[in-house]
Amino acid sequence: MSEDKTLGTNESFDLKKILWDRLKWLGFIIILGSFSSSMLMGVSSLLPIDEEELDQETKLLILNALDMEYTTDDAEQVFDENITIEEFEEMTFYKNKEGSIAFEFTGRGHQDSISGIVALGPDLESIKGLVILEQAETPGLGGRITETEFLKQFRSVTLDPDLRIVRGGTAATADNEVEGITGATRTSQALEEMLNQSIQEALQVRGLN
Amino acid sequence: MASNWYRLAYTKPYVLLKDGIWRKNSVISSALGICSALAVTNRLENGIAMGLSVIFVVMVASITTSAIREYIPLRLRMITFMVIISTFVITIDLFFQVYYTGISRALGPYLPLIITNCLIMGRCEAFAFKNPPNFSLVDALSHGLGYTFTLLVLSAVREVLAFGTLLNISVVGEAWTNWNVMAMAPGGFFLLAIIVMIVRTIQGDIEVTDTAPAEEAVNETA
Repeated sequence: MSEDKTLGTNESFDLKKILWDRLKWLGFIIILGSFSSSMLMGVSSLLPIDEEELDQETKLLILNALDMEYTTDDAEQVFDENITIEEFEEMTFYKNKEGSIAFEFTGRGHQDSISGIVALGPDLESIKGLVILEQAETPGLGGRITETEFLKQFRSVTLDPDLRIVRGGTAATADNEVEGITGATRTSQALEEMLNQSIQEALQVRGLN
Repeated sequence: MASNWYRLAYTKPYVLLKDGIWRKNSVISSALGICSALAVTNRLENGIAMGLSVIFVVMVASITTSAIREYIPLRLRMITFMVIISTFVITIDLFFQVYYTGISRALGPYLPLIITNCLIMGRCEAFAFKNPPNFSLVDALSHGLGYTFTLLVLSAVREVLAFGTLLNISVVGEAWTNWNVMAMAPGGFFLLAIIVMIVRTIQGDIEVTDTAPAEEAVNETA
C-alpha cells in the first residue's frame, strides 16, 4: 500500500485522502472480522459439542465419587437404578442405596476456581470419594489434584473434626489426614478449605430438612 | 504493491527448514515463545500437545497472512495477525476440548494463550507478511518444528527430574528423589538457559555469520 508511506509526514495534508484511507481500514477490519467469526461459527457447529454427552460424563463422575462399580456400557443403567436425586433448597444431592450422598462443590483455588464432586459415606462423617470437574491450577503442580493417586487418598477419610490436607512429602498420620501435593501447598490448602466449608454447608442444608 | 519494496530475499526451502529448526530456532536464538515453553513443559505429553498445536497454528496463520498480504494495510497488520491467529487458536482449542478433554484440562489456560505466543506473531511479521505462501508455509513449519523440538527436550528432561517419569511411566529407581524445582517455572528457566548455552556453543559461529552478509542470500531464487 503505497499511501502508507506518505501518511504521517507533513509533505501534504490531504484530509480527503486520509479519510478515504481510514474508511478502507474500517472496511478491511469488518471484512476480516466477518470472515473470522463465520469460520468460528462453522467450526463450532461442526464439532459434536453434545449437551447430553456431557451429562453422561457427569453421571460417570458421580458414580466415581460414590466408588460404585460400573462399566462404560452400563454406566447410565447403574446410575438410573441406584442413584436417587434429592433436592434440598438449592443443592442437589445424589444418594445411592447404601446411603452415601454425593454433591457438587466449588471454591476458590490458588489460581482459578476449582469445582468437583465429593461423596460422603452413609454416616455422613467420612468422605467416600472425590472427583475434580474443573480446575486451572498450574499444570504439573496444582493441576495434579486431578490425578487418581491423589484423589484415591480421599476414600474413607474421616471428618473428625475436619478434613486436613497435610504438606506434600509428609505422610498422613491421622484418619482425617490426606497427603497434599508437593510444591502445591496453596492449592492443597484451598482445596482443604473449600471441602470443609462445602461439606459443612451441605450437612446444614440437609439438617434443616 | 506492498510486497515489492520490503520483501526479503527468499532462499531455498531446505535452507529455510534448517534455519527454523536449528540455526535461527525461535526459542533458542530469538527467545520467542518462551512463556509457553516454560509454562507447560513439566510433562512430556503437555510439551507434545503444545508443540503440535503451535505447529498447526503457525502454519495456517502464516499461509493465510501470506495469501492476503497484498491487501493488509501496513498500519493494521498487527491487529490482522491477531484476528487470524486467534481464529485458528480458538478452533484448535475447541477441537482439544471435544476430542482430547484430558490434555485440554492439563494445559489449562495455556492452549488459548497460544494467541499471544510471540513466535507465531513473529513469523507472520518477519516472514509471511513479506513472502509468498509456499515459502511462508515451509518457514512456518520449520519454526514450528524448532519450537516443538525445544519443548520436547525441555519437557523430557524436566519430567524425568521432577517426577521421575516419562510419559507417566516411571523410569527411575526407588531411591530417586524428585527435584521439585524442575516442576516449577524457575527450573524451566535454569534448564532453558543450559540448553541455550549448549546449542549456542555447538552452533559456534552464529554471531559471526549473522553480522556478515548471509551466504544463502546469494542463492536467491526469486
